[in-house]
Amino acid sequence: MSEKILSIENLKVYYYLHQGVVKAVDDVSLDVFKGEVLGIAGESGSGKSTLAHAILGLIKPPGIIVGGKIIFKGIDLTKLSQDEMRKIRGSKIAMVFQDPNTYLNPVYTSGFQVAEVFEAHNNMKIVDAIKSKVTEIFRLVRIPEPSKRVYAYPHELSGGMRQRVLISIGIASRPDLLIADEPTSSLDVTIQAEILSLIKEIQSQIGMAMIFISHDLGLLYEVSDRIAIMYAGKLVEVGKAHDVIMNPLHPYTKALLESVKYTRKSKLPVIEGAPPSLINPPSGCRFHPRCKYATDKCKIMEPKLKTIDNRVVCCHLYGD
Amino acid sequence: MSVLLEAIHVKKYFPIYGGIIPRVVNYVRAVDDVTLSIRGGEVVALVGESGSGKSTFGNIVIGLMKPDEGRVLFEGRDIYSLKGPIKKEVRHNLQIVFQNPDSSLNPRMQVASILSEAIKEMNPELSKYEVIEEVLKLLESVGLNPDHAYKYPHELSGGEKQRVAIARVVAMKPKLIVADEPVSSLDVSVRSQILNLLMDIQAKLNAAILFISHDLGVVWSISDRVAVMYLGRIVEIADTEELFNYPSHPYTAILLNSAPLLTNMKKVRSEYLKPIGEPPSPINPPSGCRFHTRCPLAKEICRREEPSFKEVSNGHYSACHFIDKAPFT
Repeated sequence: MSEKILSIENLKVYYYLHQGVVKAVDDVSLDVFKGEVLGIAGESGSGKSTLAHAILGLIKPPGIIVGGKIIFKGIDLTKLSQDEMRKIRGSKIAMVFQDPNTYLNPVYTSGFQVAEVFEAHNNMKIVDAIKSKVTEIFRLVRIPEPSKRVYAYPHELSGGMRQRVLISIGIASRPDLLIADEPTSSLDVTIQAEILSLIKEIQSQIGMAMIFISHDLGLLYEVSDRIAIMYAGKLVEVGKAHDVIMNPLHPYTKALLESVKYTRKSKLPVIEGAPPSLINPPSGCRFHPRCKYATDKCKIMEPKLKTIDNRVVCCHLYGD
Repeated sequence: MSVLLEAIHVKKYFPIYGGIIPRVVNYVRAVDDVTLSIRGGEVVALVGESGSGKSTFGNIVIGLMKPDEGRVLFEGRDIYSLKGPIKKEVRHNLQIVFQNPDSSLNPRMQVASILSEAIKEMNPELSKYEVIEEVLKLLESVGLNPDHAYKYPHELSGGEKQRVAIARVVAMKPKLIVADEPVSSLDVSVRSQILNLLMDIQAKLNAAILFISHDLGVVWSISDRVAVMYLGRIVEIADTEELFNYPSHPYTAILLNSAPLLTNMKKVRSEYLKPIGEPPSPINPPSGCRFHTRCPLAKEICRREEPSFKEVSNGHYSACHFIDKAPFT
């Protein structure tokens, strides 16, 4: 792996609600290298989307970045003002969201919404951008008849096409880092496979790094170089995609993979219990109430991230 | 096993209104001529993409939506022409678990009242106390504790809510349960708990299940037979292992091919089998074979003629002009 493009250090993002403090991201450290695809997996509420929003500077009250650094090419993003952040967001770091129906504006044409990127970051006129740049990008994401489709409104496009428009917005400025938050989960499987290979292709063509967020480990295994697993706001395991999937270390990763290894006509493997509340997370290791291997130590002491042969795991079972 | 439920040439078209004076301008052909039979105690999976009509078909089977054409027979009786006590009895035997428990459980009712409604329906002679006892028994049978009886749905987690929905079904002791994507709204780590529960219930009641899903891994694990739907039609139906190992319809092969799976099931890997474009709209389905616009094998005949069901092997039917090209493995 080459140089680090993004480095998250001890990041803490808390939401201050009436019911208490939700520790959505709690002391997470993670690096992203140039040109790689980093997959982040976790259940809903594990903090993976909050992490993505924090990188883009999109955390709004009641959410607050309480501590830690997000260093992107030597600059700490958490220290930047809104204006400075706006220059980076959309041009150097961009995002592809989950649901094109909510993230595309229904009253503007799809081409206009992509052209806005060029207006904001390259001082181009929208009309010119649509004709030249946007048509070119639509061709890249394989939207048929691009010169016509730039004038189509979102409702005139199918779900797959809308997702392609969202991807166009993400890659318009050829960012160094693209964050894709479940970009295919609103799509049907046959289209999902197509969009996935498209994203992968563009990623290697542009040579950008990508953070790919999903709860589907099978999908992550297909796209990522490395995979990070999150549980209840904590990072529990990071490693090469192949290692994490084929030889998981953390009991949670093991259980998660076990639970999707379906066999014919036998009981499905189960993780007992339910994900914990983030207002009152369990003491010690947050996974201990559901863990098969939990000992007394796990209930009291919070495990630290440990590095074992190039892999990172957060569990008392390993090393010391 | 004898046939429990039969859907014969079922059609359901939803009208689309348009114009200044609203009138019907077209139809969404949600379910277009589907024939399927379910045997007692059998788990039949119905898979397909969104908009293929699988949920509509589930609703028709259970008696919630009268088909425009065709009949649904439960133990030989047409469920839409029944009246009086027989109708009630048949309906008790047909139950459904919906995808989203937030919209299928009344937010103003406590779990105990939700369940006792069902219990009183089955046993009107029970006293108040006996009903409560039954509620507690039901809760236990779905893995909830007595504390849950006096909670409202919003106080429960997604998995617990789905357990309540299942408990309500169990109370009716049905012979057929339609499970319409019962776990797709739940967290990954909770899904297998609910599926195991559903299968336990199925074994205990010896009920048949029509399992509607797009998760092929789960379908592989629990079903006896699989029917694949595309644009309102069943395109292929076979025993689960047969279908996964020897898909004979190109759409089935593509479906199996595109799902990212970590399972130990055999994976179809024919590189030339990639779908072209996106699903057409069910408002104006393509002529001939409905899949021809996306099919990599399509020939002239597919545009003109609608393929009929052909038997590939025992109990394995496929609607494709080129079943001799199969299996795609």
